[in-house]
Amino acid sequence: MGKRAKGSALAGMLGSCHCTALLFVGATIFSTVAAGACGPSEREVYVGGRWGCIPAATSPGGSTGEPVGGGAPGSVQSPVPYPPRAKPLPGVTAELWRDITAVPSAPWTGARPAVFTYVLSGDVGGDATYKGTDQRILRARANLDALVAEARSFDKAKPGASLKSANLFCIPTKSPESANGAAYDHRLARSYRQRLQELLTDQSQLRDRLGGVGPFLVATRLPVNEIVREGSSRDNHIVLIDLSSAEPQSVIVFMNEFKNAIRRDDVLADKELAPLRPAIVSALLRVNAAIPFIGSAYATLKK
Amino acid sequence: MKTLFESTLFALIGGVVTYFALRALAPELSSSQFTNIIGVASIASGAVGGWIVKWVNERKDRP
Repeated sequence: MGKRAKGSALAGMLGSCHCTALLFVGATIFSTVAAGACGPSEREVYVGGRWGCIPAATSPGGSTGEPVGGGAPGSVQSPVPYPPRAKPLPGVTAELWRDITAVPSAPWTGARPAVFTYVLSGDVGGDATYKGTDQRILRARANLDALVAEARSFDKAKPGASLKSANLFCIPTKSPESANGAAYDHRLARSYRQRLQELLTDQSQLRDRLGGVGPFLVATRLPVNEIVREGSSRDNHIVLIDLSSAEPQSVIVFMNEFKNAIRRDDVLADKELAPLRPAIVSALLRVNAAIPFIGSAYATLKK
Repeated sequence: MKTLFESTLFALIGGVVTYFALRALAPELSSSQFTNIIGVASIASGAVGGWIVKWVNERKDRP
């Protein structure tokens, strides 16, 4: 077949009304089909460097509120946090977590990490469950659940092991440590938050920020009871990130930015981290939720 | 017919570009969490692209 004949055959095909209309429909739904390849009872997770599908029932925390980490034998591996972009400094090369039940004034027991990161709820009440209808508090509590699940997706700090190069995420809990973590203690978190606010008398912006609904990640180089805010020692500084503007799905992005910032910059100054990327992702997630019709059409298409 | 085909092409390109832009921005998240944005970007790209092509053709045909 000559070139001209091939060309006219192609033109005829494109000129066909049916073909072009089909192409148009295909183009508009292409991305939505490409975007979600999992079945209706599955969810996508980032495991071992690639996306895959797992049954929704094996959710690693998040909506089900189940703690993550230390997975039971035979269970699906929890999502691996996205590899950090920044090269780790000698100071912090790993992230671990442990539950804390002691009050802020109690001396630290156990091995000392390079950085202590307190996972704190904001001003969202002291009870385990919130019975009100304030949307800000409901979202802050959902963000806290996602944040705790994300922190517990790291390895758990083993008693007696060296934590010299670790960023240890300390999670206030009600009871002594269990394998996958105990229930979060909002009252204990409040006492830590108030203690930190007392320490930040010279940093009114950070102190006021801690009065919000949160949740917060607060990094220090010393346990709270040992921080003395006098002089300019590098061990006395506090780095804060406020997740009140986050969406539960974007908490992982905030966490990664926080991890990378601590690995990159350590805790060498009082500052509040306000990374741009998680803020954009949160805004996009809100926009996405505000446009329901494509998602419902896609769900209908998949049935 | 030609305009429809070109709109389709722009919709496809817009959807793919949005998809990869979102993957680059938030690799931690599944792209299925942005389905609505990708769909709307695709439709908007098709509409805008088709209008631009039509406008260019009209200018070309003008004596």
